Amino acid sequence: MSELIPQAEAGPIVEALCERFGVSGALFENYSLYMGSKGKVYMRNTHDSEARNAAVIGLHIATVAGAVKPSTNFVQIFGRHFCRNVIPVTSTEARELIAGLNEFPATSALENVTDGYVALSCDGQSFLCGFLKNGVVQNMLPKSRRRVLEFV
Amino acid sequence: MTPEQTEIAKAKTLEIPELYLERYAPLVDDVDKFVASMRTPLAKAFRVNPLRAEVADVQDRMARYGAELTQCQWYSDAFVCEGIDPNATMQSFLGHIYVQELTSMLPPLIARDELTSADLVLDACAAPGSKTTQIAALMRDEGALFANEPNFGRTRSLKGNLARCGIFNATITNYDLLQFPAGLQFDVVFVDAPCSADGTVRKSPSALRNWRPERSLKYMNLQKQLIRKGFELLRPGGALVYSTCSLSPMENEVVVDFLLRNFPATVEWTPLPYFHLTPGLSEWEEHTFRPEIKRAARIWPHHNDTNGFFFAKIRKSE
Repeated sequence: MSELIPQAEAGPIVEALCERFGVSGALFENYSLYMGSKGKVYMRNTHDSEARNAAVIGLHIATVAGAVKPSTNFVQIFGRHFCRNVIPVTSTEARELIAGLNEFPATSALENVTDGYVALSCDGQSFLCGFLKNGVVQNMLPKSRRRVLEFV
Repeated sequence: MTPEQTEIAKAKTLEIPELYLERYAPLVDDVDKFVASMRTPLAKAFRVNPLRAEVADVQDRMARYGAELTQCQWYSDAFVCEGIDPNATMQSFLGHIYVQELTSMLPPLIARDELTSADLVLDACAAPGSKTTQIAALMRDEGALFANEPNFGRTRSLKGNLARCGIFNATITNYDLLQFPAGLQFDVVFVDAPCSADGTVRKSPSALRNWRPERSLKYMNLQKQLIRKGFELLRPGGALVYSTCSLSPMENEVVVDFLLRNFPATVEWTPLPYFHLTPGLSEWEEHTFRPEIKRAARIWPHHNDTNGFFFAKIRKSE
């Protein structure tokens, strides 16, 4: 079951995501946020239809557990608007990460990137979320979405 | 031999049960072509997800991977893909494309006009989400789409595919459709009913294993309940799309005829330019169907190089 998050509580979640990736809050204007189990935040277009005993409402965009952790969906969908904390990788590296490589050494000269959640990008497309700490990116791609790609 | 060559060789020697041919030979226009198509594996197809990607960009990237694409004349978002497995591409991972059989794209497509302006839509048997994600795209991710899947285990794949395709307007519910709460009145309802799947032989030759005509009887009873419930959830003037991947009249015309005889419903013929549709049967064995059943559509595998399929677009009287 998911519950609508009141505006006063949704604001800080949106602000945390916008602040981290340098995106405009306007992107969220036509959406409502819902709280599911285990701190999962779902985003749905604003519509007054009644959601009856819904298993899932909208799209999982983040998880709140102390900090706000962006989801893979959030990075893939809104990544084109990000202007900081994006790390470009080669197609070979992208293939390895999507297949399940757990850690990845970030190059030293990264501009506009600080420790914390980052988007990994290949050929201009943000494709997964990682966590950067001390020059190493931890792969945050859920195991259920890891797969072997031949063509990247 | 490559896996593809092995598949072709196996398909060529596919044993088609006599009972199966006895049942369907009288219904097709060309039995030899029908049998030959059943013995030809189906090429992979995909649909571009317009919520996440542009057709031209996908074409460009897939060409760089070495794919040979054929764009469908009847649906510019749809492509037959040869040379590579489209599931193994970055575009599939990102939800820019959805690998889906061509016939499976038909139910949302024939309700395209209704979906463009719909506020409330129900996909009654939604997993794994092929049609659901297409419905959301045709709704331009606006309004509200209820994706109902009675089997909880299967909601996982549904959830994953909706997420991959970046769908914001969907709500997943987990009802046995017959228990779906009354109250909401949907503009469009899709009932892609569980069926014997005996039209999918080209994709799954195992559909012919243990094939018995009686299996359709079991499905027919369930299908009648589902189409009736779907119709009850529809607002007056709304459209219900009933579909199966079975060729059996028992799972198709008999079910739609049941609805027409008992409820204020009419069937609408929905032509698809460049796609060969065969009208529904007007009679079969001891059954004589309501004349408007001819406005439903049968898809025979040899007509469009696809699987076999059936759909009917049904309007609820105002």
